[in-house]
Amino acid sequence: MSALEIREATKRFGDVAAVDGVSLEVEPGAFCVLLGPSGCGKSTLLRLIAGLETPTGGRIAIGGRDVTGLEPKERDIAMVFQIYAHYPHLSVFDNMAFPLRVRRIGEPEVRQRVEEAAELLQLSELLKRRPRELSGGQRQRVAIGRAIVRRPKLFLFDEPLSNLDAKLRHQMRAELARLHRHLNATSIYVTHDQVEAMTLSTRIALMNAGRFEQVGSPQEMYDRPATRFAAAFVGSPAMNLIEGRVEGRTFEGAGLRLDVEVQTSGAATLGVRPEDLELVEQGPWSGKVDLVEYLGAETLIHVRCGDLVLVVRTPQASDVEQGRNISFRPRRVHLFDPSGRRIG
Amino acid sequence: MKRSGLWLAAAAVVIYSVAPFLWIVVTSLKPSLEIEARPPMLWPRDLSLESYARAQKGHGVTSLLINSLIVAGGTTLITIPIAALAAYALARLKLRGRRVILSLILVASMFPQVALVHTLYGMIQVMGLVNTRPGLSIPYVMLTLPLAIWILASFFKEIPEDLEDAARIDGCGPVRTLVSVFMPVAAPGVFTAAILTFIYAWNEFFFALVLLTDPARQTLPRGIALMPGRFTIPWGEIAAASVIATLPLVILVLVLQRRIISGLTAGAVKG
Repeated sequence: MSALEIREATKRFGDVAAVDGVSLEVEPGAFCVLLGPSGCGKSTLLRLIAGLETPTGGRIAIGGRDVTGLEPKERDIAMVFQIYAHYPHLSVFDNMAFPLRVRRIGEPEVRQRVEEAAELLQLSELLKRRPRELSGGQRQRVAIGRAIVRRPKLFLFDEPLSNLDAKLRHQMRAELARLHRHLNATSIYVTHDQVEAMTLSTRIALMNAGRFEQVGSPQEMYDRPATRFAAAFVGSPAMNLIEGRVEGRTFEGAGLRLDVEVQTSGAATLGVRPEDLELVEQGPWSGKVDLVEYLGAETLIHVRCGDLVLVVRTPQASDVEQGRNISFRPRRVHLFDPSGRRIG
Repeated sequence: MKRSGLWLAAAAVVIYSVAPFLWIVVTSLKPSLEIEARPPMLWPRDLSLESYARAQKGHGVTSLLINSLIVAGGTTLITIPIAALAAYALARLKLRGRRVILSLILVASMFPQVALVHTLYGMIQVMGLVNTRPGLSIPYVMLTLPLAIWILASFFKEIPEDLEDAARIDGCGPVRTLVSVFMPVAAPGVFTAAILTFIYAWNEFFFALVLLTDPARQTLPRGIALMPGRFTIPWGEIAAASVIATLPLVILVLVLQRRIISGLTAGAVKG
């Protein structure tokens, strides 16, 4: 039985379909990330799962129970919001106790559950404070605490880290991963940050314009992007995309040629990840070095080939100089047809 | 240097604003002979409450005070719930023409009172409410609603919707969300709107002059305005009544200002 099953869910606002007939199954204990650019419908989908929005069409089941028409409180879920959404007039303890007290759980158990969660989140010392007296990271931990005291069937996260600064975000990301391992609770996590998606998830559903582009493990997503959109969205620096044509098993575009193993012919896009481009003495491709970015552990070399700039990622500090001509070859490529579907 | 300039400017503003009121307080505490003294004395030689006694005996200042409290309190109690409902709808519903509605509400508050008073008197008369306190509160509600709606709508808009969503997920129904989550957070805004409404109704003079001719129902501003007799102006009684008219507002603002300023939303949102 899946922890969450979405069948053909649609949500329209006027003429616009924010979520356009998507289906998804999430296994118990999975950490599923809804990834996509802003406006792709991922937050709306999360709100449909939460019951904060009513779907225009389709069904949603949580733990095998159809919840499509139910109120959020009847769905046995907890949600962590981007802005934390604390109750500012209540102390940290009362904030975390609130969902339990609303459900008329006895005060001794409330105390026990809140203290347990506080322990887990290192909030024990702060229970008497007001949310406004806490730092950003502490506030976010309170919001998470309020979710875990409930012991819900499903955790929902709506971009919970996007208000934190980079360092804190990194730290909270690791804490979330640790927390998920500890609780093993099924989680649905919305983000536009592909690094968060890659590091936290067991499964990624990549959304674009209200539909899923690809659903799979982080590795599948990275190694075999199903569409051109997925190829461009996942990975940093982004995959190099070269527009061109395939004729008789040869791809040609922007003055670059490559033998490929596909049967079709016609317009196509060739994708190469920066780390799949290798510098060689004498190679099939060459170009002029436009820019060298030294990042410490690696170096990014921007190479101009005609109108196109390709990024090459090399692990070592490179002695390549700007303006010089260099040769390189692709180790692994991805090929997409004009509609964006993967063909090889 | 810059600092002391700021202090000087602040002191000037405070003296400018407070001095007239202090003069009224001092005058109200002078025995009648000293009030007329030339040159005027800055401080009374003998503190005396005789002006207060005469204001009560000759002009019934306590009944004016009670009338004012009833009219202004009643106005506030009617205006704020109506304004809160309207403002909540304007802040939260995805209404087409929301801005137009808000502008029209503002326009409604722009008519000069003189332009309204004629028809208003006719309407209040038809309702049989001339010379009654409700007959004054009803126009006051009309006059104070636009401002209250504007204050509350902009305040409610600042309260993140996620807060209400969180309450729904935590298990609250609409009523519980309103009472346990929304109202505590919105309280500073509600108090601000309530105080301004109360002050407006408390100070209003023109409608009170037209709609209340019965001395037993008059409010303080009208009562004070009618104190001067044909040959004498009883400065002592006027000063005493003015102090009595001002004190409730001062107390109200001092008591509630912490609630207003406390900015309870801090912590609910980022930063």
